[in-house]
Amino acid sequence: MTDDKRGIESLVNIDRLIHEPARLMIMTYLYVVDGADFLFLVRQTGLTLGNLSSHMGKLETAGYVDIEKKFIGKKPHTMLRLTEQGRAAFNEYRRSMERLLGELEMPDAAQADQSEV
Amino acid sequence: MTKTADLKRLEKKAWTSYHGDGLVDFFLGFLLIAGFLGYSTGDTGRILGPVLQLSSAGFLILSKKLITVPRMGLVEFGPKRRARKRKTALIATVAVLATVALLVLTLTGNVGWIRDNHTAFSILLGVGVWLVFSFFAFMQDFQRLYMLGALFAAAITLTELLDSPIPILVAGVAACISGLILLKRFLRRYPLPTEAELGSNG
Repeated sequence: MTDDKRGIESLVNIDRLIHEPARLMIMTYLYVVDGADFLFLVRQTGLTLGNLSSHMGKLETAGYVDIEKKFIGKKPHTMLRLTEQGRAAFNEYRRSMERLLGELEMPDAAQADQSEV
Repeated sequence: MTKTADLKRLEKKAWTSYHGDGLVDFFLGFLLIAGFLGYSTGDTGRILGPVLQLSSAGFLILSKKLITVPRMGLVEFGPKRRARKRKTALIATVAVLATVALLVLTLTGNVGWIRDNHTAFSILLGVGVWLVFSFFAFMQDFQRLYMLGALFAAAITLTELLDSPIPILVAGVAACISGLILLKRFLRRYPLPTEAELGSNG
């Protein structure tokens, strides 16, 4: 197996749960803060609440996100945090993507032009 | 390195948008206006000014809770931000104590050295105020505070030099107008979500 192939094939092992764009965005926001509620994530990511809830369910099932429900006064309030497992998975995802993209060399301009002709 | 920088930028974006409501501008503007009222009302003002200024801190906390959080949501920032907040609070306490000490010196008439070097003292006071604000701006990643600090400093120095509270009033109104513009923009960008939108997630 060549190095190039190994590089491309490592894409198969990427954490697909995180790789989905909306979930990647959610994980990234939760990675840079300690915790946030649904509304804050809706405001920052631009996702709808339904969409966010659905992704949160998947991340919670995977053990990446901790969903803490409580009442503030009479209103329900939900805080979301990355778990240790979620932080580790996000770090691993970052490393894998960095390695993978680093290994994929761009053809130089001349080669690229030739292939287009 | 670039990826770390991107994460930092994202965290800063979250931080900045959370503080883009103009409430700090209002708070500082109100502090100055309260100072003007205190200055202008003679002996009773000596109590009125500080009372209004203290109540404006309550106003800031309450408005953050009633205006910002219901529109923007709640976020808890990381340990670095919390540590910086603690350091800022410490310096703020020292600055308030220094102001109180200066006030006590003035009230007890021990201000001969100030009277003798009034111009230099007025300028130094302004520079000191700006330095404190700059420290806050740096620690809290809050660029607008450099400008607000300059406004505060200029108002205090001019009030001392001219022996008139008008610069404090002008600066206070200017800060409130800045707060109003930012608040208007914030309210338009982040309308109150409906119950249906929020569902059971709050």
